[in-house]
Amino acid sequence: MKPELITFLIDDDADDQEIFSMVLQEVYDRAKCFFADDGFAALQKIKANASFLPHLIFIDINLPGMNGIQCLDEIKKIKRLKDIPVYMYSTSAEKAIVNECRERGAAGFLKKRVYTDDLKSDLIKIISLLKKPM
Amino acid sequence: MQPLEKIPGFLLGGGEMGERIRNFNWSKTPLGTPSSWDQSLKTCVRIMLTSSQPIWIGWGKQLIKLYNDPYKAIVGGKHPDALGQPASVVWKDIWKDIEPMLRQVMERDEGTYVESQLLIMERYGYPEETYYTFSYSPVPGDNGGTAGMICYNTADTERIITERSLQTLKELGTLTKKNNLEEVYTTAAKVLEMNNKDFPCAIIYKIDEEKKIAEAFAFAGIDKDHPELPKIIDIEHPGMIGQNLSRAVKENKLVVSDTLKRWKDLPKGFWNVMAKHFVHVPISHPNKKYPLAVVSAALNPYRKFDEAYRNFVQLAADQISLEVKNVLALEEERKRAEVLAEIDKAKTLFFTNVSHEFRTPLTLMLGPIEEALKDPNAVSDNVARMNVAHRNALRLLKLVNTLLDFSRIESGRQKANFMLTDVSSFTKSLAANFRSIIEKAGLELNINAESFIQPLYIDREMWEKIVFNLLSNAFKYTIKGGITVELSAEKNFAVLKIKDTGVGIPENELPHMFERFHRIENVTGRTYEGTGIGLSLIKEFVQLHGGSISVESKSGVGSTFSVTIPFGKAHLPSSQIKNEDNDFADIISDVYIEEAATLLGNVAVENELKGLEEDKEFPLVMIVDDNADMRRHLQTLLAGKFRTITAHNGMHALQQLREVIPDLILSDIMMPVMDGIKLLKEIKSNKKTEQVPVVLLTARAGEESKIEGWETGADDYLVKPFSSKELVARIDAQIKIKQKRDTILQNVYNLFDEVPFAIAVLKGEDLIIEFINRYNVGIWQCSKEEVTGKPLFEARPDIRKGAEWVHAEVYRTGKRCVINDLPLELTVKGKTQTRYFNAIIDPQVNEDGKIIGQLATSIEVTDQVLARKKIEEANRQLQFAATLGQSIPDAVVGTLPAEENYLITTWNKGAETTYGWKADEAIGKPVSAVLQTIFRSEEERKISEAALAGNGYWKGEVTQKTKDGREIITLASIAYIKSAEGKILGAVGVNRDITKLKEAETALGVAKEQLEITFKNIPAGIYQLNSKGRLEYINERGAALMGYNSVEEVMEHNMEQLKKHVDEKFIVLDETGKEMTEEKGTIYIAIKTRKHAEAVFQFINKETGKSMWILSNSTPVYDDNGELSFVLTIATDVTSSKTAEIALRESEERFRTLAETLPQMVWMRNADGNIEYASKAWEIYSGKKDVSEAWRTMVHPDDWERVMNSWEKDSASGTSFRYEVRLKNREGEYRWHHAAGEPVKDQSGKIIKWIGALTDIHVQKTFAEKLEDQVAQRTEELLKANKELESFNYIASHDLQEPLRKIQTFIALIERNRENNEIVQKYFEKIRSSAERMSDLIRSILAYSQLSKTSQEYSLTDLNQILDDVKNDFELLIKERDALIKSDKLPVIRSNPLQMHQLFANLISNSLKFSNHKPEITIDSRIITGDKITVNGSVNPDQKFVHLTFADNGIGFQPEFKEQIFQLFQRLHNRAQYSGTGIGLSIVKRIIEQHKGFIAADSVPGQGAIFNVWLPLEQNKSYDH
Repeated sequence: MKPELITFLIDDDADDQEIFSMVLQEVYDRAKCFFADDGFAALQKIKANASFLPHLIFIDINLPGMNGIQCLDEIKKIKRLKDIPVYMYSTSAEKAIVNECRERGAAGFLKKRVYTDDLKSDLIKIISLLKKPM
Repeated sequence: MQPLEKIPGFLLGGGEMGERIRNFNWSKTPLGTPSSWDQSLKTCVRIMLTSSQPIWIGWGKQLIKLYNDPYKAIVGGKHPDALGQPASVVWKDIWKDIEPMLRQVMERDEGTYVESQLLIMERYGYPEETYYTFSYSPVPGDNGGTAGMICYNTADTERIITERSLQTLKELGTLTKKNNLEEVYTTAAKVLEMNNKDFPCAIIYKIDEEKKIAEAFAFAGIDKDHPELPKIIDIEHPGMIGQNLSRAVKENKLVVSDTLKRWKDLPKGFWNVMAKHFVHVPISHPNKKYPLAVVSAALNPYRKFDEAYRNFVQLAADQISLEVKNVLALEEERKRAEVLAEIDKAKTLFFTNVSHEFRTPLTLMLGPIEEALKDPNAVSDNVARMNVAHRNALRLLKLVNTLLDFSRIESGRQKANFMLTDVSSFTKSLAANFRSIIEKAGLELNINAESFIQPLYIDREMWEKIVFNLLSNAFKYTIKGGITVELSAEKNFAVLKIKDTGVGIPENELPHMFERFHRIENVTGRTYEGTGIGLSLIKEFVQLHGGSISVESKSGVGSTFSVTIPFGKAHLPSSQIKNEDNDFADIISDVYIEEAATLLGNVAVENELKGLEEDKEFPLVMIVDDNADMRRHLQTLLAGKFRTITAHNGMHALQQLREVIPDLILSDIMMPVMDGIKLLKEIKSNKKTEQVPVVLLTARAGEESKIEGWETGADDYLVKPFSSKELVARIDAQIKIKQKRDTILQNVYNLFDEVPFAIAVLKGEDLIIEFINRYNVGIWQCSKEEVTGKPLFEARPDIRKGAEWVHAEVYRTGKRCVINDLPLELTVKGKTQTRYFNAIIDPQVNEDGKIIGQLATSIEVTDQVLARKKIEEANRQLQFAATLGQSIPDAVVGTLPAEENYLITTWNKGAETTYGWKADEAIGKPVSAVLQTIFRSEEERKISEAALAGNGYWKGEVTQKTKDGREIITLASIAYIKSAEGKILGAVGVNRDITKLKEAETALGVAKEQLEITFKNIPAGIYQLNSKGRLEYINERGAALMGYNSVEEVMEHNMEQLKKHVDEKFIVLDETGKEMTEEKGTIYIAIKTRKHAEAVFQFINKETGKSMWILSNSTPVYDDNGELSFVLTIATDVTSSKTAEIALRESEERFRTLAETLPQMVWMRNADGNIEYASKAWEIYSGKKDVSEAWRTMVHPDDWERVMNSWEKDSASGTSFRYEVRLKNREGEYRWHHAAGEPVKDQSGKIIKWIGALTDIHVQKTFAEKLEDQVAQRTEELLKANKELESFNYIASHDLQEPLRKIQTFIALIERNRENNEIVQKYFEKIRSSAERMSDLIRSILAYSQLSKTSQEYSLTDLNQILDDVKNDFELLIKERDALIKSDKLPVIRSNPLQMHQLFANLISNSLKFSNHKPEITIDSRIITGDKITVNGSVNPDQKFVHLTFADNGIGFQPEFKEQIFQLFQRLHNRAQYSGTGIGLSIVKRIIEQHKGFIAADSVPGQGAIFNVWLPLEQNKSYDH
């Protein structure tokens, strides 16, 4: 049996959570997606459960209270997650922001797409990049 | 000196020259001794010596010269040697000029008269330009024939030179309104050239501050190619030639230099010799270090460069500077206007682009929604949801359409197509579209449209928008009654009237109805939607028709909009009049009517008090919003945690608040009837509701800051869109804060009630009493309920006087205020008492540091204060006396009352000096032990003792003894000091030592003798007449002045005798030249008025004819009884100063005559600053006669101090001054003036006068000021617009993309899941919410009405490169279509590369799109001249253009569409066949227009299309960067 793929999406938009989860399911049927509505909830979830170890983390940039880049900084401070690839997930891919995210340790940038097929191919690529066999 | 008796009568008098002639040894001259002179010569000499006019006499063949005192100035340096010399020797230098005239006189016995003759005289060692008016008259000798001549002279030099200077200044003053600096300089040079005497030649150099060079620009009296003229001078390294000019530039001041060394051939101007000096005067500008120009002028070789000449040159330069400033201001303004026009253009372009961006996704949304609505299988719930989405999308589309129309008009692209139309039936059918909807709303629609005989041309599309806009407006604001559409002919106009019976428009809003983005606040209607640009848009439409639009309205009765359009077509541009009557699509009408229809649905009733019965544990939130969708949405969000009630506007909310007080109010801002801000104010000003937290919702950008700055205190606000979590969290927080605050506050107040001092808690600026404690209640004697909730001074008006300032101080400083012994007039139970408090007032500050209230604590200290006051009062008066005592020289002695033994308490310095006792010796001892008083009589003693005992006041002379036993006489006074209650506090004596005075009285007799000796010696006549009119005393000088030989002769004469004597000897005239009468005499006046009298008289000796001016002063002296004892008269000979004065007055008279002709206000002040003269211009300007009085009221109060300081400083230093000042004219308007003043000095350098002028510079000055203001304002606007644009960019790139992307995603997902009704339903709901979110966003963007400038940058662009890039972009499409793009080598042109890329991309994609088989595109280019261009438009026939052709083999189009394909949204094919937005070609056209090029298209259907593009090879340089 294929190994389970655990992803963690931090996004305040319920629609995007739903679309993301739907497409992820289509890409990888053993995928399991956890959500947090904002940076605070995400950090709480990570800290409350020491065994919570997702394979992939996605962060929206426009988050209420703590923005996605600050959230990325906080996650990178947590030792057990330091090798987990974190992808930024946002509508606009302004060069300056993309570069800033990379400098702060983001593995990549995932643009919110109009067509779910585009998201699908993006996700396939990301999953194929994961080093550990699943 | 010759003895007097030997002098012949004709040689008497005559001042210096009289004496010189008498003493001259005439026997050595051909004239011989005076006694042997001809009688006629004697007579002439007599006339000459007694005349005050300059006269000379030439006698005998050699014309031996004799002249009088006034003539001395004319001979100048040759005096006194000229006396007795032949005229040819004296006037060697001008002999050639005057010899012929003299010859005429002597040989032909004919007189001559010459007026203002220019004579170059060398009087002071240098040749000088002088002017004289003189006459030569022949004089016969005793033996017949002409023996000599007499010459009368008038010196005109000063007048001629002054007149000339004024003329030049006057002409420079008329140089106004030149267009550029060059013109000012050239004209100024012309004016200078006209005065070629003072400016033999002049060059105006322009100074280039950056390059640091001076360039010769304008020339007066010198050829611009003069070989010796330096054309360019390097200011830093000027060399020998330019060093003085360079110095004038660097030091920015006037520099004078020699010329002779380097100029070999300097133009001489009027003169026959070259100038010796040059002057370099800078033309300065206040904001610049270097002058803008320098006038280098050669100076008059025959005039000394004295103060007057220097001032004249400086004034001329000032005048030029003034004009230069004016021109610079104008240029600045012109540049500003150009920049603004650029920005405006950019703004329009931006609007257009934004609107396009919105239309595309909207169309995308509307399509699928409409399809889904038509689907017969749709579930009814979904239909309702989709209706909401549809309605909002339609509304949005209308906004965008209006914006587009608006920007099209702005850019001038909206060209009307006027067609002859049957407007009556057209309007009828348009209005009929609205009938069903209006009637459905229960309203009536009346249409009365006349048919016209006169032809009416309209643009039908615009007309339709006009009618629909006005109708939908009327519908929105009319709830009952009806709407009437009327069309009628009035004279030469068709008039459309749309009347309604709606809410009407407030009167103050009427003038603004057609302004862009203007919206009326708080109006009842069906909706509060609206862009605020609809009416301004139709106004533009109406104006394009040459018509006008107006509105009349009465609040509550209804409004009438009238559109008036002229008949015929004469007023319309002929190019826009179309004949063919092609149909046009009727899309817009649907939008208007559909939108109106959706408004009817809004009336849906909802359960407004829903949730009240639910669990009372939950807090109650009141939702106030006019949009039913929004209310429902908010209710859903809050359900589960809160109970909710709703209200549909502010007024409705207030009604509900009377019954229910919620825990929180959540309110929208923009609502009809009463908006959120007003509601907030009402809530916060009502005691019952003020504690309820209010959270405002805002959708409009910019409102955010408005709320932040809001003073009434919204507790929080949220900007739409917001997340549900945020909303709940904020509401929750507000409610919790309120609850916590309430509890804490109650605890504090309970504590306050227990403390033993007064406490009041005051809120807001009005100091509303929120709480007073029990102690305070005790003081005020009122109940807490009576005063709480009221403003402090309304509740207690009695303490306003005493306490208001303290509270104000706390608000002002923001700091604690501690006041001890604060008196308050407290009225308790009808009785007013002054009571005292020690008060501490603390400001209460909110989190932002803003003062929201005050806490006042106070303790009553009335008893203590009153006790202390009593003591203080007793001390105060004695202290006062003591203080006073120290400052006066008299002896001041203060004592305690009798019961205290008159112990001395005060002993001042005066007392120490007077009595010899030191203060420490005297103070504390009884007065009798120190001062021994010897009263002259018993009575005196009694009175003084009575006074000491407190019976009032006493004053008298007493003899007292000093410490060393000396007796002194003092003038003593004693006064008692009593307390307010009448108790005696002590006595104060003020004693003056008058011993010396008494001694002096005795010495008076001795002094009188002394006086007489003095009188005798002073050089003035002294006359003392007693009351009987008898002369008691006269000194020698006095006797001589009156024509007596000795004092004895006149002694004992009375007035009558004196008068008789004087009348025999003199003709006496008063100052005005009238005969002297007794009443004018100073003695007479002095006796009559009992005051000093002064007058000047002229005494003309009847014998000698000599004239003498006497200043007579008379002073009456009275004895102790007030009887006249004598009159003392002093007569001074003021002849010399009087003569000078007369001369001065005459010259002033001339000055005045000139001054009156000037437009400037000319003035003259004496050395004390008093105005002596003001030209008529003053009275004309100020409307007041007395200028010295008017001046104070004329000067602007803000300028007064500055002007007075400047005047004081300059008059002290004696330098000329310049300043600018505002003066009030007779209409009360203040106008700016340039004031200039020059000192006039006498020979010793003392200032005797100031002369100056005020020039009206209001236009220049205010112009510059206004300009600065405008610039500052514009800059601010630009900064603001820029900031807004930045935030808009953010919204456009993030927030707007979000919902759009989602809508697209969901539409795609719906397509994938067509069969699954449940999923489709879910996604439609999501589309709806995304669309709503976007609608909110767009509405807030509408508020951005100002935009920043987008830069238009041109560079050399290789079109081959552009084409390659575009091919790369379309690589896939080209492959897919198997297309072929052919081109030969394209040129390089100056253009905007980005726009070129878009142009190529649009044209190529157009060709790729509209093809059936393999597309083939051919691009050709060649360079042509403007005359080869085949489209209409103004083009320079010689300009070089690139002609590009894009030819394809596609489906082509009908030739009649060749113009229209470039119009926005013009689609020739249906969407299913060929995709296209209808924007691409209009963008192409716009790009080409921006590049000042042209485009035309041609086609044969089915055989392809050709696009011809002409672009200028070079762009105008001014656009280059």
